Amino acid sequence: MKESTLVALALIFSALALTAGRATWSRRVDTTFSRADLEGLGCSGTVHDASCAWAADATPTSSEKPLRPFVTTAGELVVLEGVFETSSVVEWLARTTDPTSRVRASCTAQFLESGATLGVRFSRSDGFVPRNVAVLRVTECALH
Amino acid sequence: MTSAAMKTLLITMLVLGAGLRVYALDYPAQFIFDEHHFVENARNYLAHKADWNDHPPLGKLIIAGSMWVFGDQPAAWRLPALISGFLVIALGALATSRLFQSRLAGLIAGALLSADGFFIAYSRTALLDGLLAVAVVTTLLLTTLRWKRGHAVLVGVVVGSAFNVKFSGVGLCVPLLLALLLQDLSPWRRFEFIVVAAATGFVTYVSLYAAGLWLAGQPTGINEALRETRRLFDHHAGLTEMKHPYTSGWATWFVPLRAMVFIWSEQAGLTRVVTMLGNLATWWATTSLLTLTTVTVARLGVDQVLNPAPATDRSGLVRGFVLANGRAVLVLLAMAFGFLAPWMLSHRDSYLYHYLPSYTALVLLLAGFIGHLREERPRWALSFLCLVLAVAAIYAPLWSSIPLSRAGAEARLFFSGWR
Repeated sequence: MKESTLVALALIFSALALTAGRATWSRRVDTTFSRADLEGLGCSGTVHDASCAWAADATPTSSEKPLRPFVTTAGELVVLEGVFETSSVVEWLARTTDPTSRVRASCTAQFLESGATLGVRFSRSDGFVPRNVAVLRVTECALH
Repeated sequence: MTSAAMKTLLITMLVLGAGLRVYALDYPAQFIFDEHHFVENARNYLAHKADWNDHPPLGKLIIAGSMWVFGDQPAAWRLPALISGFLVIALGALATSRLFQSRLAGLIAGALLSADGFFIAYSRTALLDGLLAVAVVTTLLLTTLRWKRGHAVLVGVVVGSAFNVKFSGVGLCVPLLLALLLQDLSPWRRFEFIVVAAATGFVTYVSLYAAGLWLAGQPTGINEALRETRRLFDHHAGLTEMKHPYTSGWATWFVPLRAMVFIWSEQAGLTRVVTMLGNLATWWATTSLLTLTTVTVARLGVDQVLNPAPATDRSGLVRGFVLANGRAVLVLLAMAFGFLAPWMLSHRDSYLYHYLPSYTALVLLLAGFIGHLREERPRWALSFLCLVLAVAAIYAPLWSSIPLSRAGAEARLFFSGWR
């Protein structure tokens, strides 16, 4: 075997090995929420170009798509950007008046950070509790 | 004999290693492993508060300098380690090319150092051992010079600084003493060299320590620096229980049986890991070569290794390599054993990271050997380097926190002592 062939094979194998078992940066997130969660779910801090509705020092920010904490149907705590701003959820919010009515959503999301420390809360009356969480940006949601 | 294929292979290893060092350097935003010891005390220096860590100040002062310039953020904590990592590659390559009088061996050394997780992990974390690796390659480079009086000052500065990073920096003295004996100097000039180097080393160490005390707002002076040194020595002398789950005896480092995981984070289906486990192809090759060269030197004798008679049998790959590069082999073995000696001769708690300086020297020895092998058995040398690249590619995600599935991470760390 020629040296160049041997090295070419090593490079091809290495490229394959480098990607074996890799996780993708995109995933589906299944969660449920109610209209009341629009007010209750909140966090403090920033991750890259995404921001919670409150800064790390708990002062309000002007984020148009604030990050919010959600618990997935598998019981994982994640922080998502854009759930309440996707078109399907905007339409659902427009026609839903009962604040306790829950809906299940399957969202497509991209990871912004696999482990960031943010303050999270699930009710307006709660304080922010620091948690290490995965942060994802939602691109679309299908409601069930 | 550097073919285009060989160059492509080595440059790929260099580029891969560089990428793995800088990838997501600021991840995670929290402290990794022992970073809190060093970053929190770097903060203390910046706030003029006392250092509570059990190592001398230099490593933390360097981290503090980075935080002072770039702010108190994860990338700034780790920047000195990253720079150290690149210095180890560059100076290691230069030292190897001079030790073995071979540019190819130097290039191989750079590639092996670059594509190895032990060095990559320490290039990405605000820890001190990467700084010792810089001292190792700098010292090895110094041993390749024809020493004059000025070099004694350089030697003193390097040893005094290394000792101010960690006391185990004293291991540098073993190869330096050997190199001094191998220099063409009169006994008086050797004595003079030792006196100048020792005095410079002492002044360097005490000055750096005093600077740290001054910055921390504590009483500053020679006596205070020596008193603090004594206190730290006594503290270290008492650490002999080997109860921490990460401890490992020096004899296990050659496998290794216990490699620390700096990060194991599982979030929303992503597993991100940074382990100090090195490149297994390089690791096991250095262990084999250490054994074979040590046995060969013991059988031949130091005189024969340094000045082989014309009629000496040079058959055999390792024997031929040792006889062709006697001085370099002895200096590198002295470096490796110099840093192993404190752990072989004491019962002090030991961890795999104490092997990093010795491993650095052994990787340079391996590079010299592969350079030699390239002349004797070109295909074997190339095949081995292909293997090193393949192993690096397999383990790359675990050296730099590239997201994996959990199964992907566990399959790579198949031995329980590595998790």
